Amino acid sequence: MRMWDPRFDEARAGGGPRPGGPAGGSLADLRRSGEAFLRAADDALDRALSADSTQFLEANRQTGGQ
Amino acid sequence: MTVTDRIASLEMELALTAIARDGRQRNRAQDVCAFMAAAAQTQPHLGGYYSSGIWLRNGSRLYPDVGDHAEFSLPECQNPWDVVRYQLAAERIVSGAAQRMKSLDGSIADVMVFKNNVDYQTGATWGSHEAYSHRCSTEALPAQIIPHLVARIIFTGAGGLNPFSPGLEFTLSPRAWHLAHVVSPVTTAYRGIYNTKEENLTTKWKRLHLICGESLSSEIAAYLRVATTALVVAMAEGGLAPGDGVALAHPLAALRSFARDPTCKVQVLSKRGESLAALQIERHYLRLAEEHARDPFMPPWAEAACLHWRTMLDRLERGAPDSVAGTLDWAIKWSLYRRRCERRGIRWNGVAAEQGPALRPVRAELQEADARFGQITAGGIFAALDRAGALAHHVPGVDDIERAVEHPPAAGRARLRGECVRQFAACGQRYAAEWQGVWDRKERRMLDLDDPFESVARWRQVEEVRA
Repeated sequence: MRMWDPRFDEARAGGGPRPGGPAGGSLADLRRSGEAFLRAADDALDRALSADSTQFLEANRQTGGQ
Repeated sequence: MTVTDRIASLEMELALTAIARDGRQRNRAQDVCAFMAAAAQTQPHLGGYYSSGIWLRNGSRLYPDVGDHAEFSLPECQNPWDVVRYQLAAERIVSGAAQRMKSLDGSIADVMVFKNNVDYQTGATWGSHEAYSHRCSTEALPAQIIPHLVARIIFTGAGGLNPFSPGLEFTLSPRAWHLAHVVSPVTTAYRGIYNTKEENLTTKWKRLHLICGESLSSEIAAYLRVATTALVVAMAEGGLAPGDGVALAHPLAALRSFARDPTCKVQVLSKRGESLAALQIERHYLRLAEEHARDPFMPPWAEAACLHWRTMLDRLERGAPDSVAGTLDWAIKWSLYRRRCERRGIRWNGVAAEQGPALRPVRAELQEADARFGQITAGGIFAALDRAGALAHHVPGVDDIERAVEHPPAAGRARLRGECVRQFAACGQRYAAEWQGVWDRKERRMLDLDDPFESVARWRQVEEVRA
């Protein structure tokens, strides 16, 4: 489970968050995490999307609520 | 109760689709009824005394709503962590009911439940409403909160496509395009940024009912949606006039300008004639909240919420959308959709006024992805990304979801209601519940829950009870 900001991971570990400090992570870390995100995105979309999106949209037609 | 206690909650309208094994179109209204019946089988509950639907052990209510949508109203919560916790619990309950519905009917191949708020095919929208207790002047509150409701979409937007664009146009908030007024009393048409519906569900407090928001998957987005708005309400109630200085010349146009801009840099005109970016408006409210975080009218969690708020604004300012690409709903979708286009050999910058032949094939895919993103039943894109460790959205303190499925919040009338459901669910029709009470038809008595902060179960005799 990844916290939305690394500082809050530190806070959970007892170090306390550092308000205003950098959000952590080197450029290489950020690049790696970006690449991992894109790989996961491709995989998630390939698994989630049906073979025929038009047919899915037709079956899932909704009417208005509030 | 202390003066700083506040109630906040959410109502989530859900999109439900059952797929028949033989491919025939099913009747949506009947499917919503079947879903409700399945939910009643999976959850101990009381029926409604006046209303439809069922009341659950965690103090929440599940019921069929207009437009053939099932709707989940969370219990009354007293901090934003609980609101997110009970939203996640609600999603588990809904997923379990959908599985039961499928298992009960052999003609059904699949039951899917989505928490998106628009249908690009039909042009329909449905709600994700917020409720905040307050004692502000009803006349004064809109001016104080509307700039926040407009600007907050930089972190509360669900992301998606502009439902009314003839082309393929990314938006931070599809719901924003369905809002036609700045202030409006109605919820099913001519919707406003600020809704004036008066349904307080207590005689002791007013209830701000907001319909401009969207269902979210990111925990930090869902948390900030409630935390920041509750703080703005508290500041307005405390007499700080937090909207002064950031009043917008044209709030609806401003909302749409912000919705179009994933960089969060676009500026709009204030009433004073200044140019303001959404980030500047949010920083104005945050600065005030930080200055007054310990004032008696602020909730006890104000400082912790301000820290998350500031961190998010810093992150957005550092380089949206990339700086929040794995964190906020709209920014995750922005990355997903651009990636999909790229894989289809299309360069898409998010703005395409016309639906050219190159974009047409991918349009349906992105619209399906938009629904699948927040799919509550198995197959959701957000859930898959989260499982893969690709996201960073969790909020420390939003935990123990399984307990929240079965137990109400620790304080307030939701706790008493939930305890009644646990105690009396096996008694058939004898007991029934509502927001403001629980009724015992046999003994002709009522548990008075008019006060949202009620802590003691006080039953009183009533002359008549409804059958």
